[in-house]
Amino acid sequence: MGDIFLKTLNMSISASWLILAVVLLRLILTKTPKWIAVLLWGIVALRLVVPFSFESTLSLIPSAETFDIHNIQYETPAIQSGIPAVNNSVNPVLGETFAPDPSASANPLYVWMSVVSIIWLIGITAMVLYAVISYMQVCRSVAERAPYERNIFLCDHVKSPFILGLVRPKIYLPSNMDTMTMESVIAHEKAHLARRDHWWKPMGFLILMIHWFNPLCWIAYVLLCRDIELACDEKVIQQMDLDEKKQYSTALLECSTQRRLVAICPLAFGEIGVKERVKNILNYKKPAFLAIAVAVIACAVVTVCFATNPKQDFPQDLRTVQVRITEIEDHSFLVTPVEGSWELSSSDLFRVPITNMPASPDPQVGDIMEITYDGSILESYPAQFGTVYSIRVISQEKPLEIDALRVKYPEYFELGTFKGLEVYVWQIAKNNYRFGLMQGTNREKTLEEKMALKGTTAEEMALILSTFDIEDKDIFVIPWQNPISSYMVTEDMAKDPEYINNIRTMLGLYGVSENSTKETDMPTTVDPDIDATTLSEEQTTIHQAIMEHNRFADCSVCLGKYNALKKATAGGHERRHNT
Amino acid sequence: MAEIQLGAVEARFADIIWEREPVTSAELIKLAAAKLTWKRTTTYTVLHRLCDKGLFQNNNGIVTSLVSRQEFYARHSKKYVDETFAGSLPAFLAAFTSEKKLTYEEITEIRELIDKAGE
Repeated sequence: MGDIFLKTLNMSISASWLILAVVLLRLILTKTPKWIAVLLWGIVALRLVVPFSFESTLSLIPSAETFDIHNIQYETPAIQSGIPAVNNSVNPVLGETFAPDPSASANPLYVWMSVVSIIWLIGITAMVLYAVISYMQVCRSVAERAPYERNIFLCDHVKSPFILGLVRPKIYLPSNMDTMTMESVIAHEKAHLARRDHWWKPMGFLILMIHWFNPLCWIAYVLLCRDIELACDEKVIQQMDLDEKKQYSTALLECSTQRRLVAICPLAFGEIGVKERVKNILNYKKPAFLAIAVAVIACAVVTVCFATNPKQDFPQDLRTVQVRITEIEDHSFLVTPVEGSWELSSSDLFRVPITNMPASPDPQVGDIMEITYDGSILESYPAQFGTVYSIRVISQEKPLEIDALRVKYPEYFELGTFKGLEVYVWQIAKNNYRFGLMQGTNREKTLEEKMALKGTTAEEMALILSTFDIEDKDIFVIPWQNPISSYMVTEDMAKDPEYINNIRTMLGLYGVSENSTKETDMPTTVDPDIDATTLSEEQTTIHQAIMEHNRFADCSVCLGKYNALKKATAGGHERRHNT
Repeated sequence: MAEIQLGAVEARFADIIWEREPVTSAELIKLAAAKLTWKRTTTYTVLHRLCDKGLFQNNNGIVTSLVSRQEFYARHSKKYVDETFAGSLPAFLAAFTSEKKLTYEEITEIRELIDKAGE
């Protein structure tokens, strides 16, 4: 409900500028036919009810959306009136009075707004009730009528002529009217029907019901009623000579109508004095073509300048980048653009303010977010995106769960630790390691035992190790050349304490254990022909074997495959040497 | 007998009764519906009002006149009421409508405006 009210309020504010423009234009265009003024009110009406408008660079309206729904709901409230002086004086007060309270579920202004929405609804209800009751009263008073002409009736109990009914409108005249006056009055009322004023006026009242809180709308409605009467008079007297005009004016004076069209627009105080109408009638001259042309152009200008919304300065190239959250601060995120982002060429770290964020999901460190911004980057450190339009969490990192690992690698959780733990590590690509875990023994593990190891990632192994009550120094990291691994590590590299340390850090272990130089199966020579980064055909097959190996963990199956592959690989090497 | 005043519409209805009297109220409803486009309730309301004014009487659904047509028009010389029904609109509505009558000065001023036009 609050949203609808806010939308209406925004429409009301932006339409107010148009109303002011039309009021001014009315003052200037006195010599032009009055139907132009009615037309202008039609544009005002459209602006008041149509929730969207065209955007135009010529728009003179400061802001199409003074109150932002999102802002009021989630942020420190501020208005965007489009007038700096207004913003500067209003926003600090708003911000102080209605600052969001983190402990409360909604902004205070948001709560406050729902109260205002209810008042708004009560006002509408009162207006509707008033219209309905008035309509029923008038209906009752015209029940006692006498037919005069086709759709014209006489009534004892009405004071002035009016039209009632939308679909089959009827003209009601006071029964005590003399024949001369009646002729003019009927001409006037028929002109109303021809101009469909019995629709426009209630329609105006309908819009006023919704915008009852806007004083400018009341002024607009009053002026609309005046202009309708004047335009109607002009239509009647267009073809009249002076004597007829005099007679018409006299009729006007005779009935000195104060309540025309009373039933279809209960609030008829817009009725203008007889004097103004008489003057308008007697001074009426057929408007010159030039006057009409000027008026139409003026209307067009007003429409373009005030009925359109200001163009929002969206840049031509909105950019969207995916980033990973590295840190969450009080009012901002520190993020790193994902691999391959163009933004990485500016900086690997960006600070993004926490605004324009949907309430859920709650972003966590490690989550990937999608940020839409204007394409400009402020080169500070951490760098900042120029203007951020939206932030969206697109994937949330699932934390590793020990329970899941227990299911995946049950054998790694049932190991004795009295002789320490042995972590076998083999490399399958340049920066990709696999880990297996066995309990410490005095003997060297057999190939079959090592081949049975399921490879875990560094994160998984770190988590598995954390479940053991064991000191870091009793965990031995042993580089191992898995015979079906695709990546070759020289023995020197493997014995390098740097290499071991690097792996220990990966696992969250500290200190080089004394076993770091433990006997390994590293090959003594490495075939220089083998390109470590690209996979040969054999290596691809081996990869598949590893996958299967990890799946079944069945030694006999693997060993069979291993032997077969070893032959194939040897053959491959020979072929290569031959060429 | 007090002065009886009728509006033009009331007079049309009274004419129907004078023409057809004595007339049953059921027949009167049909006649009013045909000639005046009235609803049943409207006919009853107006009939009741005219009976109250002492113009007609309704005895068990038979309507007859207490004052004859000639007698009535002789007394009122076909002069209809000037005074209109003030209670037709609720007071709160009247408050919103600019009900003020033109003053004598204003009427003279506008009258002069019209008369002098074109001179």
